[in-house]
Amino acid sequence: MDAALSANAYLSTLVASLGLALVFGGLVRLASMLFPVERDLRILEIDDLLPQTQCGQCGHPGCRPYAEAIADGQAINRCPPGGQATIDALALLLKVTAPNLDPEHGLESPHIRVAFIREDECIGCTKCILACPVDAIVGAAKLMHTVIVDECTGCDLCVEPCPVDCIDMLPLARPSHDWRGPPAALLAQLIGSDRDPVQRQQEVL
Amino acid sequence: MSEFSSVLMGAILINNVMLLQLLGVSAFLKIARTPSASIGMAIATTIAVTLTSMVNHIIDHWVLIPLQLSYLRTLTFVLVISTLAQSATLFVEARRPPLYLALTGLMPFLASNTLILAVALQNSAADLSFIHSTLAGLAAGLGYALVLVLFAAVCERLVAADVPRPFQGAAITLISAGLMSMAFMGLSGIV
Repeated sequence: MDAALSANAYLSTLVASLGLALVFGGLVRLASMLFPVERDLRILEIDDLLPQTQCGQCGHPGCRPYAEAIADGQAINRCPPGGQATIDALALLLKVTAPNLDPEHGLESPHIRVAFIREDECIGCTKCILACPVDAIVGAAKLMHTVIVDECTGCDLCVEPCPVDCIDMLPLARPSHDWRGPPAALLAQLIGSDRDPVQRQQEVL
Repeated sequence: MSEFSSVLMGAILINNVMLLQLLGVSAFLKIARTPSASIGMAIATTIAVTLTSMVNHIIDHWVLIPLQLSYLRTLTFVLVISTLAQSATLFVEARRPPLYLALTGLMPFLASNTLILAVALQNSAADLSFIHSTLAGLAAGLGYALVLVLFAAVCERLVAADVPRPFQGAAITLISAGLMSMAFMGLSGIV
């Protein structure tokens, strides 16, 4: 009797939870079919092609808003950081002929450029930190700031707010992730205590 | 009719879910940022809590109690709430995109609002009838909505206020909520 009852209870629990789960899972599925969300995949594709400098030179607050504007039919030649390569890629995606870069929005730079803060002149005003769209500047109020080279997109937005004009835009000859460092032989000589003791003694004498 | 209105007034003003029962506080502090966004969330929460009260009452009385499964109540109610919240999110995103953008990041707080679950559990614990459950849900939702919109307005003023440094941020928000709670305590005795 007892065993039969408990088996029955297990069964009803199982059936009820399974039934409820199926019903409500089905309801969510029904809702997603009734209210299809039209996400414009083109915006994502266009956004992928833009350089993500978030510099605002196109007249939009960032790359994503510009991608939305392009999807709405705006001109594709307003992105100086991306340059002709980006325009060509966008033209290929949107199946239009590639125009030249609109000089009204800026000129294409031949080098990858990054901001450089002349640190002994920096007064620690934090204005460039607030201006940086990609959080590539570290520092605190009244303390020296510096630029994280790998994060800097070269957008120029930090140059204008600096009250002491201590930010330069320098060409980046070789990306920092490609940096090799001095050769191993030289490295062994770099620290005094690593050197050959005999040779070191001679140097001191 | 007068009984209904006194239940409604009592739940909104005297036994306010948010300020005196302290339900849904974490969602409340996240949602109440600007009056415009909070009005949208207030309406959504009111509709959600009323609807879930009704659906939960039906499931409780037609499925759980006949099968002697009342220990599954909490689990089932959470299932109902998340289903309704997810459907509501899909509806808003598909049919009212501007509203969805205004509420970006806030819609999850509909599903994770303690208030909605607590009202359903209180209804079933008090063994209310279907009409009373619906009314209790509506009253709780309206009370939450009222406090939400009022508090969003307070928060908007706080942005411009010159708050002493130790009280800035979460501290002043909690102090304001506490003061508002005390103000609502003063309303007991109206009905």
